Amino acid sequence: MSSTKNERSYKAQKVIDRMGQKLTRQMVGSLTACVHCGMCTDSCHYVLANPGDPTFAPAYKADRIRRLFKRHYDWTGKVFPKWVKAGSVFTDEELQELKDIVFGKCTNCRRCTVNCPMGVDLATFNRMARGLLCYVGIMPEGVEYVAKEQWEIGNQMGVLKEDYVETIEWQEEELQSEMEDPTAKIPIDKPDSNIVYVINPREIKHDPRSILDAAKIFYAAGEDYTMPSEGWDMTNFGLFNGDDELGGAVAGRVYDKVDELRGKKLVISECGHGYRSTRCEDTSKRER
Amino acid sequence: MSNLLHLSEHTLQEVALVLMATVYYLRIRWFLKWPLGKERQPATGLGDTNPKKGERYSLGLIAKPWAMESTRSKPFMYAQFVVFHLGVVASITLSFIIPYGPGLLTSSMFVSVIQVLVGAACIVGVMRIIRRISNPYIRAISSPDDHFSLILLTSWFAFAFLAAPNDISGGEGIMLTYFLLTAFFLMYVPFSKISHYLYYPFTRTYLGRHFGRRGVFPIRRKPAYQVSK
Repeated sequence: MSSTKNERSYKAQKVIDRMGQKLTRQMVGSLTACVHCGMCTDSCHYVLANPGDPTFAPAYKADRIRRLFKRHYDWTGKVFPKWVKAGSVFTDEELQELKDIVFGKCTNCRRCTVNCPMGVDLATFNRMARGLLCYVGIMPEGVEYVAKEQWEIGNQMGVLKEDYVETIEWQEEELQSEMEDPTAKIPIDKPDSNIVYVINPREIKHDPRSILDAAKIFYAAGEDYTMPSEGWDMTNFGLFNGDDELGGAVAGRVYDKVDELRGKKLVISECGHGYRSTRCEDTSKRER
Repeated sequence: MSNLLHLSEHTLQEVALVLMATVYYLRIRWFLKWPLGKERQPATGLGDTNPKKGERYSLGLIAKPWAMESTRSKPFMYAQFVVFHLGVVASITLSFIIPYGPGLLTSSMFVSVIQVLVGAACIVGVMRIIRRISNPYIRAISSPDDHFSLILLTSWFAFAFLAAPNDISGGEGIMLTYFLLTAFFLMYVPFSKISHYLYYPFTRTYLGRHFGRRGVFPIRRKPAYQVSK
């Protein structure tokens, strides 16, 4: 529901309320300490790629989030909003504009952070802002689609269980052919294995040759491993879109399956963020 | 010395200092009420660093312009930072010396040192005002507080330069203006971005701890295989 400037929309109010729950002391320090010195500007690859446009400057982008913090959670912004450039959001259109900044103009690479003399960590509160917007369903269309697939089907490309199993079986046939060994297997849901191997859904959907390549390595090594029929997606859009609940659910499914199969080790295939998210996003605090 | 000047050198400064300290106390208390974020990532890195090392490195970056690309590639900006902040220290020191240790200012050498420091800081202040207005990137991020704080400090430096000889034989106008500006500065600081130094130890410590845990700080300048475990 959109609203006028005099009346805040439901989503805008939710974003403001949620911000108070998500702020940490580290974020508050970063939101308060910026002196607008501009030393971060040249460190941003968006600035370098868009010369002459100050809206790509890290401090400018940070201020789009900072203004909300100041207006609603810092009394200097409550008392003197215009003096410190504090401001609020009222309409869904304004949330869309914020979405374009936090998703579209920052990759959370942290080059500005390591170049900030004050130690302001833009990436941390930029990710928080992504999470606030996701909380009210505002995110880039592609991100929304894959996040929904991860929530509802269990993997970001919406691969159904039967398609997954069928693809593994097809690769098993390829393995037997290439190894000239009709007993070669790609085990699925084999309990008590030494290794549980999980993958990126791209491998199932677009290029299963990498599954075959991994199977050949396991075969040559004589490794005792298995692939799970569920909880096999080690990519994680919760890490990307700031939705900690999704991040926890996706990583948790992987560990749940490892526990169920009593696997000793978890091995993941190639994915830069998948490695980190699998290690960090699980919120169950289990030993691993 | 007139009663007004005496009042502005003593009572007014003391009231301003108490007000500043009170607001700072409230500010820190407010800040510490926010919950400390927890680390979710297991400790990583080559084992040659840890959160404590990261903290020390992060806090020490202020004195290592070669360590950050932003200061390494802009040595003139770093030099400005040093001069500007030395000027702040000199001007604050002067505001205590005039009422409580005026004997120090009988040394022309000492007065010259103070004047060089605040004079250079004043020139840097003017350069920064020009930069803040003329650079489109800096202009876009500047708030009224940013402009006002810079103008306030630059003016304060100018009057500190003139007040340093502590000579009221030509009138009390300069001294009076310097102390009124100092009092206003002390009372305004906690409400403005000038209070950034209050948060500096926190932000740098938290960042250093975080990056130390991840094996990022201290940033190493040699290949990983040469790093001792």
